Amino acid sequence: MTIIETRDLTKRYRRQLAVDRISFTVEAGQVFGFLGPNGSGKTTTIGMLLGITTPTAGEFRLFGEKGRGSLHRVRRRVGATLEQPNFYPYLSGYDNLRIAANVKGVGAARIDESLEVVRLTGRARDRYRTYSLGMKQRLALAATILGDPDLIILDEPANGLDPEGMREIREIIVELGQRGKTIFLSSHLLHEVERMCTHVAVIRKGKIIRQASVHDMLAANVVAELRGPDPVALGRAAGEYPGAVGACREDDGAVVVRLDDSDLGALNRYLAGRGIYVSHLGVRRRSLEDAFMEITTAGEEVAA
Amino acid sequence: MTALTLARNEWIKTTRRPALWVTLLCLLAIVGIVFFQRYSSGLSNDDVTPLRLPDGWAFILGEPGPMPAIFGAIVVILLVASEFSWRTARQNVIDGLSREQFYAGKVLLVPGMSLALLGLVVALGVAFALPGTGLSDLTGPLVGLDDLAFAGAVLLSMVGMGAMALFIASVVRSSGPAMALFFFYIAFGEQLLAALAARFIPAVAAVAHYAPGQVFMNMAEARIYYPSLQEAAVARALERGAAAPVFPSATVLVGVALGWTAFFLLAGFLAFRRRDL
Ligand SMILES: Nc1ncnc2c1ncn2[C@@H]1O[C@H](COP(=O)(O)OP(=O)(O)OP(=O)(O)O)[C@@H](O)[C@H]1O
Ligand SMILES: [Mg+2]
Repeated sequence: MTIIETRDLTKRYRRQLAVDRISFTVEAGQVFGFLGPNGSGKTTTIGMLLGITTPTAGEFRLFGEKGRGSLHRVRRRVGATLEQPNFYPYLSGYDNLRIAANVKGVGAARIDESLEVVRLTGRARDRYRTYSLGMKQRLALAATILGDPDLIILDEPANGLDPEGMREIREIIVELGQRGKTIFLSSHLLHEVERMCTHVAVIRKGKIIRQASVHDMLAANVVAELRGPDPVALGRAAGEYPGAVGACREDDGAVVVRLDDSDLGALNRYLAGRGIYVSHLGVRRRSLEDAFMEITTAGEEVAA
Repeated sequence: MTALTLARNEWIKTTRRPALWVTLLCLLAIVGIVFFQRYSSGLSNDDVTPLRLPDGWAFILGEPGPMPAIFGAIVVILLVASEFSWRTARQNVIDGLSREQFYAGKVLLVPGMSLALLGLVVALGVAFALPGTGLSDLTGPLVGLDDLAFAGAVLLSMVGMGAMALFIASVVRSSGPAMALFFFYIAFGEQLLAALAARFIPAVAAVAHYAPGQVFMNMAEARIYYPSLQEAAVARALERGAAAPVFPSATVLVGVALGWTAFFLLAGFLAFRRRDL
């Protein structure tokens, strides 16, 4: 089932095209990473999905529904935080959740459960004002899962957390994903997306420049590392390989080739055909970070 | 989502807010001084009848003047504008309130706060008036129809001022500037605008006293609702050889006040709904 579907969703501020004809789909059960650098339009997009920001053009559906009334109805199945946690500073964490619980129509038991999940039970009666940033983020997560939503939308949930805090949040999100929740989370922390998400869309300057499963994103454009007795000849031949996007020779004699697919065998056959035999042929482990840098820098060049 | 849920949430947000209690204490202190002076002069001065019921209602309801309405407006501005600066309005909507429901919660606040403030002022007044009231030798009812009419008018003036505050806070969305705008408007802005408008459209001068701030402030005047006070004022004027004063019609004032109140509530909603949260 398609949980989120946008078609040419666009938001123009007075002088800024913040989101430019974005189309993407999120299917049930996906942990979907919405990846982009600062100011790329992540928050604006999420704001439109949540009914906070009015789209300039385009449309979207949540749980297959569109239109103000229907969207308002299905938003009961959505738990979300937009940008930083937003709470009443003079109220305790508990009372803040009580207000959200009243709106969502859930009882006190759910408040306690949610506080338990984010490990905030001990400080729940303290004023929100006195919380550390990490505690504020965790209270936001508690509010998000309060209504036991089918779709969880998080805008940079790990923003400003220390590694330990990030790990905790990550564990909670992964566990929610395993329980079958659909999760849409924005981030500029690629490493985090790589570890949590099953799918990813990369946004830059308001445009989606890539959407794939994390697996495919990592597999595409394999970077092969080659070694052989004659690095110069190897480098030249590898550079002329039709499937190569680029090749370079490193100081230690390794030749690095970026392929437009993941077929190392074809590369090897091509080199052998030219009489070049390699002593080492391997794949460089790439993180999503590399993929991301590549994609976004490529976008830069296109834009320039 | 019921009105009860909205009211319950507004109750949590409001009663736990320290700024509310500080504002209430200020109002009670000011009104308390007014009542105390009247009370003590009734004790020490033989020419002054002690503050007592039922004839003290006009004083209790009327002497605080626009103070309860202004303090009510301050509270409304504080409570509404902070929902924007803390972005809790946004979170409320994300949590599942429609914009209409969120605004309805704030609309509930206006009569709620007016009733609460008026109730406190009345309770304080009664506390000062009870010692002078001989409950056993009361002949008529403790509260007359004129008193009820006046109390209703005071309440309406507070609701009107609160609606104006809600409108300003919904447009300005930040408590400092909203407060400044509110005080500027009721202190000078309205007269300034009226005078300016009258220069171009002379007919405006004739209806300038129906401007909202004027109506809300002036309608809380006891003489409009008590025929006995009006007769006394006329008699005093004639004694001095002056022309008899004319009093505005209570019905017209109430009608205009209701109109402005509805206008501010609606305009506030439209301003609130139009913009992103
Ligand atoms: N209310 C607004 N008025 C005008 N411009 C805005 C507004 N909100 C966002 N923008 C602009 O829209 C663009 C996208 O902003 P957005 O907040 O969606 O980015 P983001 O991807 O969430 O960034 P970050 O990672 O920094 O949170 C930015 O150029 C921003 O300046
Ligand atoms: Mg953002």
